[in-house]
Amino acid sequence: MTAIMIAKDVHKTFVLHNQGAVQLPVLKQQNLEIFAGECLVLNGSSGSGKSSLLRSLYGNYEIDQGQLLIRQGEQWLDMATAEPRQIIALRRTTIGWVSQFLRVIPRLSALDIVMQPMLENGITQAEAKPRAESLLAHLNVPERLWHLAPATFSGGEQQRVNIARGFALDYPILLLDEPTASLDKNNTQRVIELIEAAKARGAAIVGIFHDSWVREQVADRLHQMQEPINQ
Amino acid sequence: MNNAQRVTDTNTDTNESKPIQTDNVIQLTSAPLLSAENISMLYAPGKGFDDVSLTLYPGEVLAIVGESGSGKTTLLKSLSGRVAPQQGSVNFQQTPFEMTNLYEMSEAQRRGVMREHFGIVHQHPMDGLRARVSAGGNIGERLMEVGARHYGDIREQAKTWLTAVEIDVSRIDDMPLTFSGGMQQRLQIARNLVTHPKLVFMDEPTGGLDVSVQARLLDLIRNLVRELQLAVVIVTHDLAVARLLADRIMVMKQGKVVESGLTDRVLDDPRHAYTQLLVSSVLQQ
Repeated sequence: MTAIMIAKDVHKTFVLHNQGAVQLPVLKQQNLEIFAGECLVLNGSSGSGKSSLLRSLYGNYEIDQGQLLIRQGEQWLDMATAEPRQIIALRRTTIGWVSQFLRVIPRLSALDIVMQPMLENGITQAEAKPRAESLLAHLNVPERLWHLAPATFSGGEQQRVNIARGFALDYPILLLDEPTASLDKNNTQRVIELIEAAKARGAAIVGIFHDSWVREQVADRLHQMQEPINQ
Repeated sequence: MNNAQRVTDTNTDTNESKPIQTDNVIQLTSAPLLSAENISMLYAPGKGFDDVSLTLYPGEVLAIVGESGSGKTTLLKSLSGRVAPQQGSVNFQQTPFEMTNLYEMSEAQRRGVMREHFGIVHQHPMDGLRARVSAGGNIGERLMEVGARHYGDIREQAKTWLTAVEIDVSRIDDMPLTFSGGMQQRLQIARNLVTHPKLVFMDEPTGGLDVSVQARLLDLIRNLVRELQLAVVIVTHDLAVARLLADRIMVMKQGKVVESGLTDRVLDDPRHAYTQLLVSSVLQQ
């Protein structure tokens, strides 16, 4: 089986120019391969760079050294050197992202937020709406909230809107940054079901999960981070 | 059974460090709409902008951020055909696959290009509107400039655009000075978009508006940009505005571009000292 994404010899150091040019190394010699249909969990203590690695895979952080390769048919695209518009195109069609926080867009209803990635990919309103509704229902977001803007929702409700949005399209690669962080067990179980379904259709998933029971249920492989690199 | 125990520690794999051959696989076929090559316009040392290059593709939104006096507005004027740079060239794709230098054509030709393909949204709406012409007239005037003559059609289009920018159609014959600041700004946007430009330049379009009015305007701009596949260059000092609207961001300091890239990358992982200062100075919500 061939990987659909490969991170090769990835290094990253933050340089805080306005705080005495302090250097904070966060990623050192990271290598990983991601395969279709499996869930790779980034594992390590707080400060070991899990989130930085995940953000690098999404192009949200810029790495200093190494390659972030995405398979496109027979060829590889290196995200580390790709143009912004290539990364935007990748995010629209190939790489999905779910964080624990919803970046609320003023005036957009929960339903619109979930439908947005589908509409941007040319899926019609008529097709996108039932899909969005079924995701929100699956995640127990009360129907009376669907047409409201999520700014006033609880943290858990916002998070579930965000998860529904992340699962709205069948992305080949899905990156999950603690998607269950503020959810109760029942709702977490619903998210696990979505992850299992995504795996079953062949998605490659890379995730960070704080709860060990979630990790044990979804992980096919663990990627062990190094211990925090001290100065 | 718990297969998560199968730990693969790939970090130790260091012997094979040869990079893998890559290709520019995603073929983004469209040619650039606008390109600037090494343009400079300095009124005085550090005043204006210096050696800026950029490329903008159809449907792309670029934000230019930086503090007052960093040369953002002057740069916008040069990009949009209003101030000739002292050096370098600004090229626009007037016909498919042919870039023409905006400042090598005649004044009349340049005005033609601007009228037909550009929209310019000023920070102060009344700078872009005609005070003595009704709201409908402000929109219709742009249509007449590009050749529309049928009064009924023009009025119908004006109504459509008033609705699109959420202004009550019953206000069509009112003068813009009787409108609120937010309404004036929306009218200015309608006046600019009615001719279906390819490229819109905006200078602090939400500056000076109340926060609630700002949110509404931003949401409106966001939708219009997506529906009409507009390319936009927007100057703003508000990083939240850039994050909401822009695909790419360019950070300017004292006339120079210090950092540019994907919007969320620049804002979440700023690398230049000045960008780090800008990002860290924003109050967290």
